Formats: sequence, C-alpha cells, structure tokens
Amino acid sequence: MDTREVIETYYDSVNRGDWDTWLTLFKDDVAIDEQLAGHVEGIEILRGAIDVMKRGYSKFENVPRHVVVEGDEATVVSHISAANAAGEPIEADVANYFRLEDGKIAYMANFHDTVPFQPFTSQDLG
Amino acid sequence: MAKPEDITVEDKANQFDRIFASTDPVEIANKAIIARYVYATNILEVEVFDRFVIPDYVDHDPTPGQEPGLEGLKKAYHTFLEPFPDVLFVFEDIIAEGDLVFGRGVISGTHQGEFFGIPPTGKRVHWTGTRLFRLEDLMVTEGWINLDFLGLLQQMGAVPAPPAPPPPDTPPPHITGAPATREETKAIMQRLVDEFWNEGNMDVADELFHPQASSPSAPGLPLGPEGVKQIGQMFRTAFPDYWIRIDLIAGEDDRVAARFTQGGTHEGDLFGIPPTGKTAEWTEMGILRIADGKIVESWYDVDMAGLMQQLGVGGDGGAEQPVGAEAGAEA
Repeated sequence: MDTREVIETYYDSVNRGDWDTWLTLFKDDVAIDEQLAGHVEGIEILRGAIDVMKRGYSKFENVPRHVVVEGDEATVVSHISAANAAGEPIEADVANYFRLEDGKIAYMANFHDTVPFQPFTSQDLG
Repeated sequence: MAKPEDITVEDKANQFDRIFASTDPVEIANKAIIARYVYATNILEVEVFDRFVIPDYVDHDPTPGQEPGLEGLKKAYHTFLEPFPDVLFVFEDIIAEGDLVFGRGVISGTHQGEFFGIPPTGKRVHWTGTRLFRLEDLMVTEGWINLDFLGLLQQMGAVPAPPAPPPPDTPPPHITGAPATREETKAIMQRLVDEFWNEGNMDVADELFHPQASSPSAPGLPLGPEGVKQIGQMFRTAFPDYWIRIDLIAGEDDRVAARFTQGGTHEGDLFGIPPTGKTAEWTEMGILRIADGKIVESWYDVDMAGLMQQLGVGGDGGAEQPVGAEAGAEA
C-alpha cells in the first residue's frame, strides 16, 4: 500500500473496530508520541492498547476532516466523536502525524487537548 | 477582533481552520503542536510541554529573570498568573512555513497582583502579542515574542497614553479576493520593507495596499494607503536614518508574517516626545493578509516599551523592572 492507502485503511479500520487490520499497518518497532500515553515503542504496546480501547470506549469514531500526504509523510486533522464506557460523550479535534517506512507506519504523533478526553482518562478500568 | 472574554476554553487556540491552510504534513503538525501548546498554557498544564518542547529550548525574548531552557519557560507563565489569575491566551491566527510557526494572539486578564512593581489596579486589561516558534522533528526548539507591553502599562495607568484618534464608528470592510503563492506574499512584505520603509518611498503604499485596507493594530488611522503613509512619515521624521530588516519570515497563500529588527537616531518628534538624539534598536512582528495581490489587513506588535526605555522616556508608574526587555507572555 502507498502512504495514502495506509492512512485511509488506518481510519477505516479504527471506525469499524477492526483492530486486527489496524495492527498490520504498523512496523514492529513503531514509535508513537501520544498525548495521553506519552512516548511508547513497539507493536506490543499497541496490541495491549486495543483492550483498553475496547473497554474504555462504548463508542469511538475518528473522522478525517483534512488529509495531507507527501511522500512517506502524512498529517490528518480529524474529529473524534466518542463515549466512555458509561456513555459519557467525548468530542475533540485531533491532528495525527504519520511517517512511513516500507509501506508501514514507523512513527506516529498525535496532538489534541486533554480536557475533552477526561471522561475516558478518569475511568477506573481496573 | 474577538473579545477575549467571549472566547471559551474550548475555543482557545483551536485554530483548526487555519491549520488546514497549509499543504505540508509537517507544517500542519507544527501548527497543531502550537495550538496544543497554547491550550496547555491556558489550563496551566505546563508539564505537557515535555512532549513538544526540547529541554534546551532557547527563548530569544525571555521574561526578565526567566531561567533558561524548558524549565524556565514553564516557570515564566507564573510571572503572569500571579498578577493576572484569570489570564487567557487566545490565538486568533496561525501561520507556518517550513520550521517556523507564527501565532497572533490576544491576552487578557484582571490585574489582581503586583506586576513588575505596579500594584494591583483591579482593571480588566487586554493586550496583543505575536509569538514565533521554530520546531525541529515536531519539537519546539526556539521562541520569540513581541507584545504590546506599552499598551498594557498604559491600561494599568503606569505610563500615560499618547493621544490617538478614536476608532471609527463602523468597522472597516472585510475584503476578500484571490489568494497568491507564498512566494508572492513574501515578495509583497519584502517590497514594503525595502521600498516603503527603508527607501522612504511613501507612494509605493498606493501600489501595495488596497484602498480600504485596515489595521486592527491602529484602528484610528485612515483606511488604505493614507493611514500607512501617516505612520511611515511619523517614524521617518522621528528617525531620519530609520532602517528595518526582516529576520524571519513565513508565507502562506493569503498571509505573510515576519519578525523584524529596526532602528534609528531619534532626531524628530515621536508621539509628542521631543528629539533625544539617542540611537535605538527594537523588534517587531507583523502579519499581512493579502487578497487579489494587495495588502487588505495588517497587524503589528512592536516593542514600543523597549523603544521608549532606550529613549529614556515613559511614566513613573512604578515599573521597577526593565519593561523594555520584551517581557514575555509566552503564548
């Protein structure tokens, strides 16, 4: 897949809850700077995050509003409409930056405000 | 111009429409980082700076007494938080090219604590500022700022306000038109600097400015080239050897922003201040909005406090610190 196809598959799989497909998009040694989780490395971290996503969100939609692709880089500005496990709504604008190597996501960073995600972060997920 | 008190926390710096204006993945990410930065300042979530500011961050316009690096940057926000507990930073525009991101903002707050020796006045004040950041690998490495610090001191009654024409009863027209390229917008800024300001060719304003161009930074001036000429003639009369240079510049297809250094010898009247014979050098940031190849709107944040300090003039309102040292609001 080229960069645009990877990005389209990323959002399509997230919005379908198809986490198995989502995981195939990343390199094994992917590095991620995530606003809530901080700097993480390795696909196993992502595999573990899927469970948190499934338990922490009763709804999760991440709809791209603007996609810019240039070579192996892409930035997507999107809007998240979600709800925590108890159904409390979350609405937020997010920017995701991607850098690919060999057709897979090697680095990803996201930028968003923290307050809109408090219904998610304040949960006790055990 | 938006009233700061009307802007909610959610609105602060979420300039996503302006973020879209870029067509480069890294530029868009850089803008999003700065939007995130401003949001974090408003909820004093300064520990999150670790995610996008390098430890050896260089502040070119530090608050007086500001410690170096990232830790100094975090602490600098308290400089404003104590005198203005409800301080609010709002970006009204954001412009990026390459590794540079300019943000034009309005800062507001209620003066409830001592501020550089000025006792609390209880006044609700607001002032403008333009921030500039350089980023490398999605991390902020350097920062600059120009604030209307003199305007802030005037609102607090610490220095007298110079006479100024009142703003018009009706707002200026919002002019729209075809965009240009970023190279074209930068060329317009360069001509303004070279021909109008450095060569003193006032007539070039007729070519560069729309007949109804306005400047929210100087709402009392006549619209169009006439207002620009008044400012140009005033400064060139006050400083006959006036010069200005562009230090850093970023262009988009309908905006161009620059950081300037300028100077001259004070040999003529300036805002009623008689000539001092002193040589001064001060900084500024300016943003032009371009439509159909003409400047239709412009914003300026000038270190007038620094200029006044170098000229040895100003009020005796109790400002004990070197107020001209580009006291930074870090937004």
